[in-house]
Amino acid sequence: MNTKALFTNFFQKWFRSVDLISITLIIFLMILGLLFVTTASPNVAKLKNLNEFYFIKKHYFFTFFSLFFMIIFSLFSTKGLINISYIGFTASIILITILLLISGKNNGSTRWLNLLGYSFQPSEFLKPFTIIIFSILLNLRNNIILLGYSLNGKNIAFLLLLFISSLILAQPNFSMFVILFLVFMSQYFTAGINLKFFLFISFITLLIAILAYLNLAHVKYRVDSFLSPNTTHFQVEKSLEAYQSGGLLGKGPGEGTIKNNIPDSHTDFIFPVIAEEYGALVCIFLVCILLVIFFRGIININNSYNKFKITSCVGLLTLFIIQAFINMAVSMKLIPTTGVTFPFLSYGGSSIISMGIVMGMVLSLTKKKFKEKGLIYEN
Amino acid sequence: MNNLFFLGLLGSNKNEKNHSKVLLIISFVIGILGLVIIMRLIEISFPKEISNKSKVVLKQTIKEKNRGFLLDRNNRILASNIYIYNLKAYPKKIKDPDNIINLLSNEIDLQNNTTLIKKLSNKNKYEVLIKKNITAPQAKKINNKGIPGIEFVPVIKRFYPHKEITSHYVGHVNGKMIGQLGAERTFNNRLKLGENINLGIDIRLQYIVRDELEKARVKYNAKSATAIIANLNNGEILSLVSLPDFNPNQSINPMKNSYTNTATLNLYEMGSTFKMFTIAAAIEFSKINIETKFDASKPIKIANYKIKDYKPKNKILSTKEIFLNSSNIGSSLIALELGKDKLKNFYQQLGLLNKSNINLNEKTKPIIPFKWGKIETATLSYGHGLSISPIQMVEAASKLFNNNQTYTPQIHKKEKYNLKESKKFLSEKTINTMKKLMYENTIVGTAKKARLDGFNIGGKTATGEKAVNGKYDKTKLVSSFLAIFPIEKPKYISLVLFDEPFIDNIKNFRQGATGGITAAPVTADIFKRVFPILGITKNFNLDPGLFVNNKGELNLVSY
Repeated sequence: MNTKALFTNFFQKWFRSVDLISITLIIFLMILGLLFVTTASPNVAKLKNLNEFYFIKKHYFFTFFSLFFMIIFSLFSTKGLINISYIGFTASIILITILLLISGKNNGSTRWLNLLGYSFQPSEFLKPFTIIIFSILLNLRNNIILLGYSLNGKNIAFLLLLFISSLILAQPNFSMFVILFLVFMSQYFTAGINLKFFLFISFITLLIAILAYLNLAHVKYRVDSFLSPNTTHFQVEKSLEAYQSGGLLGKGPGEGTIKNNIPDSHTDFIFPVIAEEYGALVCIFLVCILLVIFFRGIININNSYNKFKITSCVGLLTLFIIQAFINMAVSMKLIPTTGVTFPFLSYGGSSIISMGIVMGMVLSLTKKKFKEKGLIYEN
Repeated sequence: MNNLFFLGLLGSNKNEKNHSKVLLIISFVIGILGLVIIMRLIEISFPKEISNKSKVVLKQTIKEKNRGFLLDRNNRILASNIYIYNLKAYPKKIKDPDNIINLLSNEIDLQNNTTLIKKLSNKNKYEVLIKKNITAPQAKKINNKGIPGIEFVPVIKRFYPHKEITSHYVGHVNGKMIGQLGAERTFNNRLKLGENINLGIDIRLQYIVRDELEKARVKYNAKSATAIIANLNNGEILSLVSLPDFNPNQSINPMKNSYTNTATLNLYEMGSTFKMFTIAAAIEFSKINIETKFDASKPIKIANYKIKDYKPKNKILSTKEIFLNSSNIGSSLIALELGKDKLKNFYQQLGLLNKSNINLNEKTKPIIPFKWGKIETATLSYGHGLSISPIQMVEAASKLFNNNQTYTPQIHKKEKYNLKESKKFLSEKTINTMKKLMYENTIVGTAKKARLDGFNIGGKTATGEKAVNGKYDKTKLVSSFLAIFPIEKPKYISLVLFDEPFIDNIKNFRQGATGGITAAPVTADIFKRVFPILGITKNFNLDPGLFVNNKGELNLVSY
């Protein structure tokens, strides 16, 4: 067989095995993201004294990369995924640690790493790889001897969660801690729950949350302003106005006014921009798309008997949907303000590429398997 | 290590398919969350129909209304809103900055042409502010030139048509349209909602009062001056002038003296006007009557202090003569006879020991004596040792002559005066005696210069000495004149006060600038122009019976 034929064969195989509905919906979301960032970002660019097309150009570029990464990751076998996760996880942890050490010296931002003119967030890339690592640990059959103690996988996974949490809380990135924790819980639940251990984890988490509230000034401020009915966070107030003025059908593309007031309207507050310009119906439609992608993944993985795959897939899908929910809930004043991007819709290179990797992994894990002659068999 | 894991991970056991249940639960939770999001989305997108039924309260967005107007008692505008324009330029749309600046500087004053050109040439800037506060005609002229790349941004600004005249009464707003001083501050919340408010001020009176007061202030070279005219019956302040003043339309420096409302903020040891209160208290609360005699032939000594008279008579004086001659010795003797508790109590009733009740935010607490002994009782009887603001003097005198303890000065127009509020605390007889004394004072006493032929007023002069380094300085005076009019049936009260007035042609310079010589004639000048507006007419046939029960007493007047 020549190379071309080999390639065609490989692609055909991929095309037949991957879940086409999910991939179509994700690409549809990406296209919507292009549209929304196109209408929402020029004003932000103006506010920041940048070229009007600054964010648009970058977003198109990153969306393309996201799609690219998604397809690359969906080509991986499970074994490949595990191997790349080891590499990715180690690299991300090292980068985050370096960033923390550097920032101690020059007191700068701790989330961003400047590389070749692009700044990116290693903590975004940590998410998908961590989920895979968690799945491996949660499904370990044998105990591991560590420093003389015999630990089972779940305990190690929990220790790892504590380690990562301490790293990202040191940044400080409270929202990511919350997301990672919820994802871990979903995975833990899937892998099999132990009530005592669950209570123990809940207690530890509560402790961390209280400590964060007491020690992280911005967390305290946001929780306080969420709980008191009179003082509303400026952005949330504007965001609620946007929903109200948008109504059912919206004002029309580009006609929104919230983007003139909120500096994050192309990232964390893109959903109210959509609500104002395209209306509540489009927003409900978007929520439905997210839910379909989620349930599609769950249905596909339900056919599998591999606990590792199921745990990973649940974790990845939970990450995807929880991030979207938190983003929407913040802008609707359901939870205190925190900066979380909307998957595929928000501007932001690291987050959209990371989300591409997440969905690529889901597609890879939910691939159908074929026998040599083309007959489907259950995996 | 890797391979070791896979053996466990990838080997699937088809017998244990209990994960479907778990996946169902997770799906269920996520589904519920999704439903919550959708419900909330619907709720906040249509808040009007739903929020009535549910208890979720969305912060209501009040449509920003224009700030309400301030009007005088006859609906003349004191504060309104006008549009002014800020001129902005967008460097990216401008090709020839030099030319544009040239064109613009023909129409408006630009402060620094070269830096502006530099700014306009900087294409990285999104916008540049060229000039603020351009009037509408100017903006139209520039607009007609069709210069590309510039834009006028309309801004609402507060405008005070009467400028300095109403400065302290009406006050002003800051850049965010929040009231900072005067009525703007007092009624900020109501004005914010777009309500128009009628103030008690009569702009015609205010204009006259300020005009006369400013003339006099220049003449006497006083540090500051204050004049107040108030309705004695319902507390409306018809006019309140504090000099020096400022133009609220221009940029304001709160650190300057002119920003201080001297009528409500400055504290003075007022002087002899307090004799009104001392004598009223003595007549009301002790056996002393208008004919009781006191030995004012020589200065009295209390501890190390000596109380002297300004123009000593060196003889025995009656209460009435003490008032008409403004004898410090006499009033000290009256106060000592009355007793410190009764005097203190009466001052308390008049509100002299507390902050004024006026509904202005700018006011100060009076400085009251640390201890209240014999010497304090004596000096307080003629207004030394207690520092009060001019508005407090008006308030206290109003309470006295109106015989109403609930009297409070108000800067807004009262729709109707509720008589039930009145709380009498003096007998009619005492009030009448005081009115009589006040009237006679303008005829034979220290206030002769305030008298206008045919108009019957009552008045009391006062000259306080300022304390400098713990000693009273005879060259630094606070000269004032308090009047009530018409005396037959008092309706208005006025106070004119000069801080450190100075008279050239008197040898003993500054010492001679007493209340009777400075403030009383200025009051007369003001009355000349104000009486026609207030509808006060000449009355040559003052009914003596109004005051005097015994016609024989009238002879006293002519001594």
